[in-house]
Amino acid sequence: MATSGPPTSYQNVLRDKQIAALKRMLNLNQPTPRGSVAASEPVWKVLIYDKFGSDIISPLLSVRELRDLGVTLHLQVDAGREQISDAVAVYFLMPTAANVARICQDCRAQLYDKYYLNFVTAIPRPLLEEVAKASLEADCVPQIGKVYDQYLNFISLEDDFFVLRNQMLGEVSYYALNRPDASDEEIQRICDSIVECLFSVFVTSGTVPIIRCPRGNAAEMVAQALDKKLRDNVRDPRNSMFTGDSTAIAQLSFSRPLLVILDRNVDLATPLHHTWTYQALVHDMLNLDLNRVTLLTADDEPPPSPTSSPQQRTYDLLHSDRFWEQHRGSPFPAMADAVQAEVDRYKTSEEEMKSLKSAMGVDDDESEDSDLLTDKTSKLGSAIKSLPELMEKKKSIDMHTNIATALLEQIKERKLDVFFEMEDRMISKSSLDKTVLDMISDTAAGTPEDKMRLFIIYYILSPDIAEADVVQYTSALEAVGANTAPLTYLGHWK
Amino acid sequence: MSSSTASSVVGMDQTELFKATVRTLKLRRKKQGAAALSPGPSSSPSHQRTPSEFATLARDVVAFISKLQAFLLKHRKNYIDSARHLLGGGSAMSDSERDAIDSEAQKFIEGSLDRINSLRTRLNDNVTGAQMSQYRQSVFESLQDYLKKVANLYSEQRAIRIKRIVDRKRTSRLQPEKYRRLLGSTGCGRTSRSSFETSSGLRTIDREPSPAQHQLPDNDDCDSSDPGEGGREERGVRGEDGSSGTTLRNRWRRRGTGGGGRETSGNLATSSQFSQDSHLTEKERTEFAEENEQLLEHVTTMVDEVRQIEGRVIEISKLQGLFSQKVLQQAEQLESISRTTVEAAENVSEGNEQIKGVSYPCNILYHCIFELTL
Repeated sequence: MATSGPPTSYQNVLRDKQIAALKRMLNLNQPTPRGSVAASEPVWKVLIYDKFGSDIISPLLSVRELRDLGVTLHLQVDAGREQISDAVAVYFLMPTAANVARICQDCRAQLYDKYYLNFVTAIPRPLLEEVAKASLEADCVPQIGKVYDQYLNFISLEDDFFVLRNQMLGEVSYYALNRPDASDEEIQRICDSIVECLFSVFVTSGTVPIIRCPRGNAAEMVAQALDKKLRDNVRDPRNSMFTGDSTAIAQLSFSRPLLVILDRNVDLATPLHHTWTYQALVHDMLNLDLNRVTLLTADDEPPPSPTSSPQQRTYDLLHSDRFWEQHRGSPFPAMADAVQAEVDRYKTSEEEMKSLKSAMGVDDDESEDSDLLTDKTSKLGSAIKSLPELMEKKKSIDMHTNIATALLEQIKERKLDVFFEMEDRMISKSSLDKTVLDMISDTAAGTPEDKMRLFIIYYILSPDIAEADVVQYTSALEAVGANTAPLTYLGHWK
Repeated sequence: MSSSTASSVVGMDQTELFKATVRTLKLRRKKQGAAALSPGPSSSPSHQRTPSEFATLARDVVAFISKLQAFLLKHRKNYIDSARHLLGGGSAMSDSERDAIDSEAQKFIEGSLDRINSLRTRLNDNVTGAQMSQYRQSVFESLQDYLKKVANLYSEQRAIRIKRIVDRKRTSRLQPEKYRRLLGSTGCGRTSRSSFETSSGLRTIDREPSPAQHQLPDNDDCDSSDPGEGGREERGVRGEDGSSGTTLRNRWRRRGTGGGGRETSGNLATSSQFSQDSHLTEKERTEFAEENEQLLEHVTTMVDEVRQIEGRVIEISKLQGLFSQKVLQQAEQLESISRTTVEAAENVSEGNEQIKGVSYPCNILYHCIFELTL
């Protein structure tokens, strides 16, 4: 359930702020020195996180960057951890009872030299007392360096896109909110967790939004709760998150972002719609998760990279990959053409390098023709310089080629282009060339889920469908093995 | 605030709250445990953990490298900006000082490398598990990275300095030819100092805003020689130097080709590419630096030789002056001798005449004698 985030004006990029907060945390909450020339002394830390923490950190900082910040080891909080008595431990966890127990255990076992506890969101008072008690018992109070509430309970996937969590999604899903037998407490709990995450978003970006929502459903609950929380916080001058330096205040007065909270019920068709753009296809077909894709490679492919098991390849689709940035919204054919163009361009530069190599070998004896040689040497020099770039490009091209191939296979297999077209036509209310029934009974096309999706969209979009027709469709769907439970829900929903 | 682009208010520091909680708990405990004092605080020893040897060594290395960095940074401004400061008469850093800094830095770097290597041997002492050894490995790597970054500072500075020297040489090399041409046309007989310095004067005439740093470092760089004598000698020297300059350039070019595509030599003509050499590895940089040092030495020895030749030519000219004087003297003497001889001959012939007229028998004798003597 991603909501519209703050605008990406020149300094307001949420992702960058989150990265800055993480770096500050890893620097033991000391202000990072701004000296550009000097390298700062390394302080060696061990980063300990739980699943929530790792979800937050992994799209933002690579292992390389963690190394640069001085993190020598990163460990799961639940994993067996050994004593490393010279290290400083930085914990980044959700403040749950289990995590707190684990921290206390570590303190008692004297695993590390100093402990910096950073909680993803505010730690409730009783748990804080737990930690205090345990540290007192273990007599390691001086070793607890800092206890910090980071308010980073959201995952920034891109500059202008964040999700609220990636773990235990079942707890906060649409289903959980809207199923008929959900109790009030559960609904309240879900709303609270959503409010908490949104609150972290605004604390990190340092602005108080204007909130707008439709009436009468879960969105209104969330909006009201968030509003209350923000007001309470701003009103309390001692603990307020939002008073800070003048720029933060300026942001408050001039450009408060607009937060629009919508319930999914507003438009059920879109998530079910078959997609045609690159990023959406990867997400749909290949399970793009936290900017990471895992491909199952066929047997006849060349040996894989060392980081993956024999049949799997993992790729990170990053912000820094130029091709990805450019083409992630392009429709599949355009993207395939672009990949081809990149491959051609790369091949030409490779040819150039090869020709240069041979030319250099031949002209080595010419000492008089110094101008020509200077030319060649400078060309060679620039070729050498551009070599690492070319390697990067090659890697990225390979990755995109593999992904595109995998997508193509799936598309062909499931005839997804036909689905897409039909749904598109339905949504734009133009006529269809094949009827839905044909599509459903066509065994060559698509998985049962695909057909289900198609039908649901059709059902949602056509307000007056006869009962008999519905029964007919249902039986057809059951014939191809789709689970018709959603239809009952939709019946109610309508 | 300088860091105001990122929101400086992120999260809440609960440390104070935590400490307050600890204090209240302590108080509570004291009240409760006033009765049960026996398993009291005395059981918990103060956790004075002696850090492991590895840790102390690692800390030492870090401190050492930081000292090196501080040293480099302290002198960096002076090192790099010295050329500009010279104009304003500020704290100039002479080449010897720069050399001293370079050698110090080298020593420091070698020292750190030694320490890091000794640390490597200690890597596996007292290791209590896989995580510990991984941790130590990462610590070791991060030490190497830190040293590399600091050494980069040093090599950057050096590269800038060497680039300046090369640029100076390059531009001054172009001067002798130009000067010769000008001499030919204007026939100026300057009694000026060494070629490099006069060329600086010319440069201000020839090319308009030449960077000041080229002018003055020439004074700094080349040793001043005695004033040459006479335009003739100057011209002689210049011609010598100009040719030596061009041979130098050829030699540099040839070295460039021999170097197999090394950027420096190929790009002597276009020094702009030198500024892109920040990607050169340290090894390459030191190689280039050495090569440049050698070339510099070469040029300096040539300048010395040229000066020697100058001296010798002056001596030769003096000797030749003497020689010409002597020759003139000799000519005079010869002339006087010839005059004397001519007079003597005349006298003898007169005497002959007189004797002829006197008496016959003695005549023949005297005649014979006079004839004989003539």
